[in-house]
Amino acid sequence: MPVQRFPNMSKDYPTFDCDAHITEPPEIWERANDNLTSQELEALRSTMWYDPESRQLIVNGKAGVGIGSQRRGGIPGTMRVITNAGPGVKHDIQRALNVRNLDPSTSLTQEQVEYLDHDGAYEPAPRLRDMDMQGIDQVMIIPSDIDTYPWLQNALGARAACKAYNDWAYEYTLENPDRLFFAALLPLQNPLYAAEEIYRVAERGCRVGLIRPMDAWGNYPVQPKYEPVWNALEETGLVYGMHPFPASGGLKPMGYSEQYSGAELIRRTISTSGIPHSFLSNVQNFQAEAALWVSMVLMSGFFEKHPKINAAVFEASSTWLSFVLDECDKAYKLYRNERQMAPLSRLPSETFFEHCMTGFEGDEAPPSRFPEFYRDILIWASDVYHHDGDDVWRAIDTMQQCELPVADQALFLGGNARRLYRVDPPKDIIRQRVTEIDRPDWWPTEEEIDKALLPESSLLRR
Amino acid sequence: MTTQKRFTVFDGDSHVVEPRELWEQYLDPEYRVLGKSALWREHGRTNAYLKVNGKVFRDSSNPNIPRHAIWKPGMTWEDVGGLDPNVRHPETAGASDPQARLADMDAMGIDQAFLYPTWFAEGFHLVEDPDVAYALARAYNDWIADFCKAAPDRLFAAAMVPLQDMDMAIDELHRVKGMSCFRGAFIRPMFREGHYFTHPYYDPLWATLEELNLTAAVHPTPGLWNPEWTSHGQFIEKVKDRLNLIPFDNGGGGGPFAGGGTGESRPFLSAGNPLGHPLAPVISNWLDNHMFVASALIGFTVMQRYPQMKVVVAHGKASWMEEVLEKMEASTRVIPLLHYYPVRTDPEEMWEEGQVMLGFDAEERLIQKLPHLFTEKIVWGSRYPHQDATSAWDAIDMLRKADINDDTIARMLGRNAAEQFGINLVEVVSA
Repeated sequence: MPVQRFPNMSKDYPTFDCDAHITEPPEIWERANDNLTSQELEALRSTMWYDPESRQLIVNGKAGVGIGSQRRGGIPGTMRVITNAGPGVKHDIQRALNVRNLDPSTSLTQEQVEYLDHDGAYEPAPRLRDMDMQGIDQVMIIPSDIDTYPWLQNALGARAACKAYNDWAYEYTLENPDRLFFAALLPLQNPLYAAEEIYRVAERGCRVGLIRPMDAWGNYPVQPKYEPVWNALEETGLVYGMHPFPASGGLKPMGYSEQYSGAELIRRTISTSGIPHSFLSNVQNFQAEAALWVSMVLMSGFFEKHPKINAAVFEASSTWLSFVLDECDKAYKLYRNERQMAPLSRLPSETFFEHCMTGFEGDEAPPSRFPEFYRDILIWASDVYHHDGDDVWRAIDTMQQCELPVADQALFLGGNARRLYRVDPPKDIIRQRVTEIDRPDWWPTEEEIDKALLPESSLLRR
Repeated sequence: MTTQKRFTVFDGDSHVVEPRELWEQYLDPEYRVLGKSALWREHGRTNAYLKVNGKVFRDSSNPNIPRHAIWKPGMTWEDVGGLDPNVRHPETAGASDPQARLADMDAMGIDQAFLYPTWFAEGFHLVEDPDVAYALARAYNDWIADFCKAAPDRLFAAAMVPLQDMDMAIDELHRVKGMSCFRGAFIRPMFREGHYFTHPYYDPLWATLEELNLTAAVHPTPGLWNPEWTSHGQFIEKVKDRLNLIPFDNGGGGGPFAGGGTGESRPFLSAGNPLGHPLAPVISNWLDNHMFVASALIGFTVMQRYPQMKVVVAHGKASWMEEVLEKMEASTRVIPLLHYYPVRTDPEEMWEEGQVMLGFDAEERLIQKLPHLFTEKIVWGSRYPHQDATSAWDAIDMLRKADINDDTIARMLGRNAAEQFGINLVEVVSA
């Protein structure tokens, strides 16, 4: 049996993974009957429902929507991009497996895709085991169907969907409340429902209310109608968790011609190219949404109106912040004579440092080279089990290469997140890296991985 | 502030503002009516707009302050923000007059400059009729060539290329190649005719630029006079414009028609004060450039397939470069493969070997902190006469204060651009 080996590494501080994902399992709908009223259940059925017979998620009456529940176990010949980045499934290995899938004679079998469809994406006990191997002491779990929830048409159904998810996520964290935390979905379709849900999940110890910064239905989440939501965040202390995502547009109704996300443009560079060539969907989607949200809240004075709100900018990298904050300051100076909203009491960049933190992943080096800027605002994320996710050891390796002091490593990898979420470190921490993982016989060899990295190996067969 | 230097400063990103005479004297008489319908800037006594294909895109901000040409040497950003919005302020003369410009360059410590358009940057790629676009491109190129004749060793330009018809574009590239002021072809990173620069339609463009040794001079705009879906700016402005609108069904959280269709039919009960100014300039330039580099140059392998083509991606910062390369490396591995072209899996090495440079601003913190990571890959631009311009003295001062040595500054502020545009450096201003 092959053994995958890793360099020996250690750490002596607790890590907090501020943004890792679960994949919404069918169990959420199977158990909704237990937690929802009959009215809520009825609304959920007509809004967002998992049909076990067809294994389809049906959203707003449309089947085949979403990226989660319906594909548990995987589909032969494909990589399940939201559940495959488990322990040791490094990017180079994924490349080799992606190359296999270009040829029907080598493509992944059902058994193989099931192996890569990590149970920890759906269940807490296997996740905790994976966390031990990945050096993750604590984690904030976040759902995966983030491009779906803002499009739910029925506000009652959206409320039911959020309750069903949040109840499931809460129970997931009960497996080990010192290590597992959940970010709550909010039914922004009705700000009053969203506020109610904030109070409800706060009673269950939730630390974050998730908000996708996009313009579905013209409802960009900084508009005045959301004042009840912001008030609830201030009263409960829940963090405004701003999580961007790629924008598929798959749930736009007929006739909806407007752009709802900057990420749609990225998709269009691919879809209008006229050739079958995919590449960069993970690069700018997140930054486009996050940068707009950051500039909107800072320039509008959102945090001056709601001084008790703190926010986290998830999954968008952080290098760009170093100049976007400066551009906000510059714009405030240049347009001072034409500003019609209330003057700001401090520069936008100062407000960001006071109220916000920003996520980064282990392969992003610039923040580790610039600790004087990022020291108090950076929070690490693994993004597992999504395909570009990776363990804390990757992040530590990057930081060591940048010669970042250990004290700063501890802040970036956990200390800042715990301060933001107001949580204590776990009783026990992971100190040593697991250096060996047994793999099945079909695991890619070093030779196969090297060969797969050649540009020609990725070509479609013509 | 610094007022001395011992190296040549090449301003890799400054602008002209196209005057009426471009249409009324340089445009072929046969195309003057059509040309003024296809692309025209009106800045009258009571209103201002850009006309594109006969459609009017009105200025969204106060026309009393022409922010595209308001900066003059010695002004600070605070000075611009202090201008009285109720008083009409004139455009900076050097935007359209070469002698006034040369005087401003002297004052700014700039020896040589590469000139980009303003209104053609905003609207030319959107012109639909290829014949009219070709006529407009010739008119612009002839006008800017005459502008540069005021100081042939100091003023250089990006040529306008009618991408609406690739045969015409190639013909125009061959024509301008024979005119000494042209060292690049203007490309705005945006969607044209519903597609992007990832489309194979543009392969002859890249091939011709490479063959003629003309630089792809990529420059974004905030797109304030453009329709949605063409670049990042319009979406940003739409979201910003709804920032303080309170819908009639407040509390209902929108509904099935909110934001859909034209979005015009949504009833609003009241509205708080709007922001009062554009938001797109804060992030759209970076996002547009970032998308061009990541998607077209790297993702769709333009850099790989045309390795000798030189590219300058101006006016959109440079600090993001490393992050893009890191994420692209991951993308080559974890995105399920669907490649038409073979894609290199070592984007950092490809970037090092490549012929692409990014425009930067001296105030970029990451460049001040880690200049060695950027030294060979960035070119400085003043943005003159746009509102957020800085002089070379400002830039040198900031970089020196960041403990960057003069040789590195000389490279960032002059030598890189000169190499990229194929220009001999000439020092005119020393103090």
